Amino acid sequence: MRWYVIVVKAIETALILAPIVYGLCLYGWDVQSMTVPSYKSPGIGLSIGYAEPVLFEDLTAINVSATNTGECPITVTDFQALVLYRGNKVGEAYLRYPVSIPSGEKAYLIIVVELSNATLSDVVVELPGRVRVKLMGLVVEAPLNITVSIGTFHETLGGR
Amino acid sequence: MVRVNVFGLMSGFLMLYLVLLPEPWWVALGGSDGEAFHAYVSPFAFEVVLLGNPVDIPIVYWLTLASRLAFILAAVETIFASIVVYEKTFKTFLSLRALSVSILFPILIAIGLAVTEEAIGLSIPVYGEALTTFNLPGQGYAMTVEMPIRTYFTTSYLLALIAGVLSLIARSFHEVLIKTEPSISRV
Repeated sequence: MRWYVIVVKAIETALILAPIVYGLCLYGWDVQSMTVPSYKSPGIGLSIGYAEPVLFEDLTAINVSATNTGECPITVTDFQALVLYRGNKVGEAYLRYPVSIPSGEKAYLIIVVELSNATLSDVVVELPGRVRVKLMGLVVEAPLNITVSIGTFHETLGGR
Repeated sequence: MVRVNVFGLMSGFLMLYLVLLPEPWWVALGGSDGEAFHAYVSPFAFEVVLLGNPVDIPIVYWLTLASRLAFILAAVETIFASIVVYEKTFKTFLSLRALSVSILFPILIAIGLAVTEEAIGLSIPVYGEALTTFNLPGQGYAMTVEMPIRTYFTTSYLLALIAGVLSLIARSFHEVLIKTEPSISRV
């Protein structure tokens, strides 16, 4: 191999390696810190407020206030939950229809409750379930627990 | 009569085109039309954005910069060796970098995706469509994300592969040209 080929190849290698060496110098030759990805996921939050019993289209339902505390607009597409009283299943609950909530705003979710035991009164039931939220073209699923007083529920229904 | 290595010239200019007008070689789009996630990857550029926020890997910037330099130098050498076809030694300058990089690229993508799956549980196919689920980090509770993902190799990758094949042909063609061209060193 001729001398100029060796010189050219040596300069070429030095030029190619220069940015990598410079980058390593900036990071104090800590390769691990250079390879660790950094990412800050945007805030995705759904804050559940008060749960108010309502009569909705002849269905027994709970009107739940929900605030989008995240940074992007969301659509609550689904909520499925059991209705538990002292840990025992007494019914089922589901979201009546999808609700869109812009960032920082509040909306109301109509959750239909189907109780298998209609004699329950003056008790607090829990609705442990999973909520499905659509945002930026993807579907996010997260746990959501709602606690509601059945006593208030009957009183409110009776008052209507 | 001036002879040039046409295959080498085409390969060199294709390499220059690929570096100077950097288009991604591989694209991944998540959600509807990449609204939730997109990755534009080539040896010269790396852009990954998840839910509107970029994913930054410091070493990638320096590697892509080195890669850009490597391709520009390879292109210049290849063009030079394709025009100055006097020395047999100049065959060394007909770079096979485009070929080796375009062969290594999908392998590195596959390794990168395997590492991503291992690290955050996000499964992305090298090519094609998939519905993937993963746990979103940084939230206060277990949040499962469901996302349709579409990935594909672009025309730029195909051009890089063509540049690589042309450089291989150029090397063989260089031998043919040398046999028919008197060496300048012996004149």
